[in-house]
Amino acid sequence: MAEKYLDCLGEACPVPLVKTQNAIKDMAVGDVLVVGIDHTCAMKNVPDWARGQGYNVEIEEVGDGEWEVVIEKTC
Amino acid sequence: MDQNNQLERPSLYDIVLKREWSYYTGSVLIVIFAMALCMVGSTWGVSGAFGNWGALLFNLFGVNTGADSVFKNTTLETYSFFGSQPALTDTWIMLGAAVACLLAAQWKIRNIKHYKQALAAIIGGLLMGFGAKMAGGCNIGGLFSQLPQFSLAAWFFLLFVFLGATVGGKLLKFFMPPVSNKRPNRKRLTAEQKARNKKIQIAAAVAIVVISAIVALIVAPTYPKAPLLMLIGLGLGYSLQRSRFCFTAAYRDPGLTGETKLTRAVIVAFALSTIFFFGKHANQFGADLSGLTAENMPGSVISLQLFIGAFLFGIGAVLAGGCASGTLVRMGEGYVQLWICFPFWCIGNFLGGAITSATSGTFLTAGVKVYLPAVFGGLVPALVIQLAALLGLWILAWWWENKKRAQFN
Repeated sequence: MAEKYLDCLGEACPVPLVKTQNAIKDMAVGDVLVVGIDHTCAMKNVPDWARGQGYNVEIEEVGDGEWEVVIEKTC
Repeated sequence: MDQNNQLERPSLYDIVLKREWSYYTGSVLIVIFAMALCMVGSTWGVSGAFGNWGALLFNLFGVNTGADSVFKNTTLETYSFFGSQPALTDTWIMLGAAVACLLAAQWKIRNIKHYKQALAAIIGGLLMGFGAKMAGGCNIGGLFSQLPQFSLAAWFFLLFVFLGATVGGKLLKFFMPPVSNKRPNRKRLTAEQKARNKKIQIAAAVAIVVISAIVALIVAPTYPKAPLLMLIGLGLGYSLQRSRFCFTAAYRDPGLTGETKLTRAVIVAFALSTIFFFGKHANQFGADLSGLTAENMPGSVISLQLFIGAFLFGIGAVLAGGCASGTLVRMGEGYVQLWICFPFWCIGNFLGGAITSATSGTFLTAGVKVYLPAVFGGLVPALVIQLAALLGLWILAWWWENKKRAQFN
């Protein structure tokens, strides 16, 4: 049950989603990835993709226009 | 209050001003604003203004761009900011995106963290500028405003911009900031700080709208169309930002991430817009196309230059992280990477003009204009075929996303 943080602040699409996909590939089932994002498009397409894969996703707005997307690799 | 926390009930503020809209909501609103633009002025274009701004930038640094210079650019002789439709809509698209972002209390300076992002923005901006000039428009003028007008050139634009984006996707790894797993040491805001920031941001949004209205009133007597153009630009920018709409993602993401939600939303926008232009053209040319001439035929010439331009544009849009409208929206949101990109976009577009005037009349620009209703024997068959083709693409995109999703697991 490892937790990993991925810093995607200041990065525009498609970089956050590409980095998220790469990170998730190397994770075990049950691991958690926290993606730091401040791109308004990525705060939609990263959770969209992760939910589509069937993972648990939570979004927290940690600052003005800055989010942490918490993805649990459930399958 | 977090708008995405499903345990908490969203407040009225969250629903009205904060929560992102679905992509399809974006499709519908963008088509409505684009139609309004067609009625008030001419069809929506974005990059048209960029070349002029590039020329102005050269003039600012003392470089002559006029008819007596090597650039032989005469567009500035008649240019006025408030008299130029793309200049107005572009500026207020950027401001509309800023207003949407501020009202949601999500505005911040989104700084770059690695020099490679600046490099990608500069190269991407120049490529987009060149490409859009050669292709006769960007994602908007060359594609979104042309494909629904039954222009075969736009379908070729789509093909080559897709190929360019595929190459751009491969090049992207050289420009990506290195992976960092270190959480930046930031203080979390308290509820009071959040509430105060929200008030400041909303006040800034109101200020932009009020100042825009005052400017509109001042210029209205000289430029009667300006207030409406500004308003439509504001609406476009607001809708693009709020729905997270992105034309580039539509042809970039299928290959790169396997996501096609935006692809399908853009296809729906094409279909809605096609129906609008069907009516407009039936009215303009007559159902039997008797009013159609070589002069008033919509669309660009299908030429080698169009293919090269769209291809370069596709590479640039992926590298920079936004096309023309996307660059404006992200500038409005405070994105430093796109502020770096923007002047190079303009310079590229202006210099692209020197290329196109040199290639004019050569094999590069030789080609034909193809208006699909003239090929398919009328507007109705063209409408049916085009909608069927778009439906086919929609199904293909949907199937592709499911396939890629299954492959990932």
